[in-house]
Amino acid sequence: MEIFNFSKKESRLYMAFMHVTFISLLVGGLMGLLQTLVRSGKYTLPFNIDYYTILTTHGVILGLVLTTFFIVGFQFSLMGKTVGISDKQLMWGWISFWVMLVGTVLSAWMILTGEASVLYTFYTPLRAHPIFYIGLTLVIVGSWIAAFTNFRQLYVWKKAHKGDKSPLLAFMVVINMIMWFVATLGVAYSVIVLILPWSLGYVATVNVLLTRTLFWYFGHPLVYFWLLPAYMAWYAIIPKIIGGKLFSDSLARLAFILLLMFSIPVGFHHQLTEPGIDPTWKFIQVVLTFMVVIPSLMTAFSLFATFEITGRRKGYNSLFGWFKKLPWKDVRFLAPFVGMAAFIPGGAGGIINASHQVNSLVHNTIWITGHFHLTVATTVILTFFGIAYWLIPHLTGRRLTPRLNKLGIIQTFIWAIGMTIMSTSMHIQGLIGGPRRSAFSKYAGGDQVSTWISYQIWQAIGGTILFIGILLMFYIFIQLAFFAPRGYEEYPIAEEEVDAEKSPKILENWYLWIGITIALILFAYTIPMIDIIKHSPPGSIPFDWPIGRS
Amino acid sequence: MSKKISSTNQPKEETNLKGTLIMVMIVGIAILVMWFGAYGLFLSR
Amino acid sequence: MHLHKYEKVWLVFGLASLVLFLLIIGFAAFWKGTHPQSHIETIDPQNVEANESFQPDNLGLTEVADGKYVVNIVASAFNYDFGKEEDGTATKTIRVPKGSTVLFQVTSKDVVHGFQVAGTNVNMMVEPGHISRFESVMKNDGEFTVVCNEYCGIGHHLMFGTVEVY
Ligand code: HEM
Ligand SMILES: [Cu+2]
Ligand SMILES: [Cu+2]
Repeated sequence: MEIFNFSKKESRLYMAFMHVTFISLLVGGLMGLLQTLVRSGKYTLPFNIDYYTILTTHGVILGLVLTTFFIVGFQFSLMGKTVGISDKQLMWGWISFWVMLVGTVLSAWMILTGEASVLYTFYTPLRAHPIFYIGLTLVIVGSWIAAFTNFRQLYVWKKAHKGDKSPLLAFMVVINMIMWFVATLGVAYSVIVLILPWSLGYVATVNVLLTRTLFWYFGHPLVYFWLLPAYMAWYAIIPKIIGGKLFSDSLARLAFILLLMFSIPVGFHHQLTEPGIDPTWKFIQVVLTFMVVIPSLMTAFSLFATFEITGRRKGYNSLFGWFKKLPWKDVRFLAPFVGMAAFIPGGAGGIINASHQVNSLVHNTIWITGHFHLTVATTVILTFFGIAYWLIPHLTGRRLTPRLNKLGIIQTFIWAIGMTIMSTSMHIQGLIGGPRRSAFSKYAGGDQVSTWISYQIWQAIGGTILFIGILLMFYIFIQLAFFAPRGYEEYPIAEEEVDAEKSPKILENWYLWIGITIALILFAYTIPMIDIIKHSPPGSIPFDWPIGRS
Repeated sequence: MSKKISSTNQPKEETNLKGTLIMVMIVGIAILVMWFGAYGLFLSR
Repeated sequence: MHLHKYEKVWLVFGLASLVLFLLIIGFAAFWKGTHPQSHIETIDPQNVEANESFQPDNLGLTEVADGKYVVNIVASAFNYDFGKEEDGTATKTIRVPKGSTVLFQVTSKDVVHGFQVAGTNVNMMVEPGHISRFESVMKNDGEFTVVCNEYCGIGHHLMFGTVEVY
């Protein structure tokens, strides 16, 4: 396996993305803490700051900005390691970074001045300032530049290595970026063609259901765009950290192909309780949603098998001896492992959410918030932290010292405890009807509401613990970026077994997989989209005053 | 790189993955229990 | 591509579980008619009174047959209009006997709202231009808070009502 060394110039690009990631973590985390405190009913925000300004900041900064910056930066580094990057591609990398950053700053400016309290889903006909939409568009366009640079990187490598299979990690990055590109086309169309002209007043009305449907066409693959880089680390990096080999190159590729095909034609599972969409089409997308569970089942097996094979090879041959002997004291393993564990209740909860009529049990309750704080804010984020512990020092030419490793382990525990408290109380409160996206309120009073509030107090306790975890993580980041002792930190990439089975060539038949992906999207969306457009109600005029704009 | 997938490179013997099977089955049971719990709650309302 | 025999066992088990879930919810949806609410009926959001159900006099609770009720509601930022009491004040509580069948019909005059009778299966999105409908048998007694569970603006958390099942 060919491994490229990073030049100084290259490392600087990847680090730029990491700086934005960790600043976002700090800012977004502070908002999260404030939300839980407000919702406890024991605290009010100073300076007349509105709860929903804070919530929009939290959702946009953590859900859209932190994730996208980390992923684009991490994926660039994976491409750089496995297929290399040319000077020209590096320049495009910087262009993507700056376009995304300018977009982020524009949107953040609008959010913080109260001109865009529309939450990260920006549902019409609430209207934010046009600059907010322009900013979001730039973030997406920047990520497209990164995507096409990544495609180009693999293409150049393939031309120089005729007949070789592409490196596994590069293959995975390209799958994720194809999915991202196909998915963001929907939201880009919605923002650029439908929302922006309307927000500027050039068009009088907007089709609300159409913009929502285009948003969720993008919204579900969005969560897979977060998850796939975590899967990359689980499949192809963790085995190296625990001293093992890849479980199966071809099964890993197959899982990624299935994820590409089934993560897009499923957006209706976020719209199950909406009027205006035929229930049969909702059910069809529910079935497709259940298909996307399969590659995750495969992943669960691969991971345990990697652990077991590695452990047994080291001589721990009892039924669970291999499990006990995993490198629990190595934060590069521990943090992602806790992330994997969180994905068990997270994934199970996801299946419940997607279960057609059962969705009405949980739709838009705080259960949903509990669910994605397990999946994104634990599974994905802890895996990203697990990556940061070696990626940052590798890029800055420093070392993860035993002390920082230990702080990382403490960080992981703090996160696990805080999230268990916050997420569990959110799940329970949601099952008894407590709504999400809501500031503190006593509603009409009564027993039901006072039970909700008691769970909100638990959320504030969990949120406070989590925020301590964020401060610690930020400290570790600063240490790794600027102060840790100089040295060499390994960039761990797992290798195949020497006698590994050859991967079938069909796995790299891009035309086939992209073709099936597009066919599935057309199947799942064409007829309901025609219905939505044909049965459009009179359009909606913009509303500014409900979000406090004058 | 070989042109066709040869049947000769099957692993010689199956690796022992008993622990893995038990672990994933625990995951599977957890999914079933949570799902039926939620479905029961849905029916009771 | 080689699959370990235990992986086959696991995938068969996993797939069978997924199929079982789908059969249960599919049977419930297509044979018992418990789809989530999905009406394809539109309305002019700037003139909801043009629809008979949403004329001011028809808002709130009406008994249409023995043990069968209809509740018409107009949502707007940040209020649910359940009609008026006899003394002219705005209705805030809907009271129905236990075991009755209630059809909730909701529409929005402005932005997107939610409508959930918390603690029951009545949970739907309310969108301008569309009518949301959900029929439910009120099996359990108690006081249930009606909450708007989709963000509709800075007064979102102040939008509520009560359904009392006695
Ligand atoms: C200190 C840690 C965190 C705390 C205390 C926290 C707390 C919260 C709370 C209380 C809400 C719901 C508020 C409401 O519905 O009214 C929320 C929403 C959300 N959180 Fe977090 N969170 C934290 C970390 C994260 C992280 C790391 C991510 C993502 C990587 C994240 C992503 C989100 C998103 C996307 C929302 C949804 C916003 C919306 O509904 O518009 N959170 N968070
Ligand atoms: Cu989804
Ligand atoms: Cu609301």
